[in-house]
Amino acid sequence: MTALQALTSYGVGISSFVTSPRVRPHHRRVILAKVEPSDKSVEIMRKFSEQYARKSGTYFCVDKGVTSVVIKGLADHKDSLGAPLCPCRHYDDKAAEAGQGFWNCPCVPMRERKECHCMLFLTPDNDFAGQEQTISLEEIKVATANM
Amino acid sequence: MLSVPSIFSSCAPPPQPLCLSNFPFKTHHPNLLFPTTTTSRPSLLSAPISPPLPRKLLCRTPSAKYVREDYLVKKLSAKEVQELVKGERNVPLIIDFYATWCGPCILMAQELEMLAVEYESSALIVKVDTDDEYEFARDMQVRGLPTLYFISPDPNKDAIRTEGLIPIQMMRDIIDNQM
Repeated sequence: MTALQALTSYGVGISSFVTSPRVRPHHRRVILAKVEPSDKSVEIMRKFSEQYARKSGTYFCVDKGVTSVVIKGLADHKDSLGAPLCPCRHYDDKAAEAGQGFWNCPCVPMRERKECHCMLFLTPDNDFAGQEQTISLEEIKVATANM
Repeated sequence: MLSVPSIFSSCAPPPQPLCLSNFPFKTHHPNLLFPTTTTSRPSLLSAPISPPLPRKLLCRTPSAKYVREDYLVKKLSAKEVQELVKGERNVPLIIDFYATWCGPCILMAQELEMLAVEYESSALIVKVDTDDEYEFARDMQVRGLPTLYFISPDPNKDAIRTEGLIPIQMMRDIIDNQM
């Protein structure tokens, strides 16, 4: 009897040993990074910006870096919210603002008074206005490469 | 209270006087223990990265281009800014609220770096990412970006807020005459 008990306990010991193998701890490194907007959205907003600049008689900034950053910001909001919300504002509720539409590019101040505080569309009399109404995808990529 | 609204950009709301004791600090973000090591967004005019030293790497090191120790204007968390505002100071504090994809914020950042070089230790310039510190930006009533807060070391003076890109000379005028 004693031997049987010992055998049973030994068997339990064995099974417990088998069922709980030693697990090598996996070290996971969490990398936090700003997500870049998709290429497709950037291309869409680039084309929109060129088209709207032509239509409104406005010009891009002399510093194309500013234009590039804003176009990427619009693309980023288009990806996340479904609408190109102005990237140069802080909102209490981005989704609600995107649904409401006042600050969707082209925003109401731009449409009514050609006021673009993002410096994306600049009237010719603006000190920062350049001579161009075009910007290539390559220019956008180069200008925002360090971000 | 500043009574000259003409110095602000056309997009700015009427200047709101801010008493230092009335800052509603309601953020819940963890404290960054080492503010000098917080990451800063590089400007578009940042210098190219130096080539890595030849050595055997066991794993790929993170790219250094997003961490620039040589920027004078440091990015702070909401809690760090609150401590700065509440603490003892004898220089004006300038807080730059910006966002990653805001174009004028990049130009403003360049201007502020130049200002930091000019004023050295006579002014303290810091920046806050409004995408990271959402609640703090909301509490500070930040709307248009970039927004600058000029906070005098004198607690009896109201803070000055500007919205949009402003000329560097205007910033100098505010620091020299209003603080």
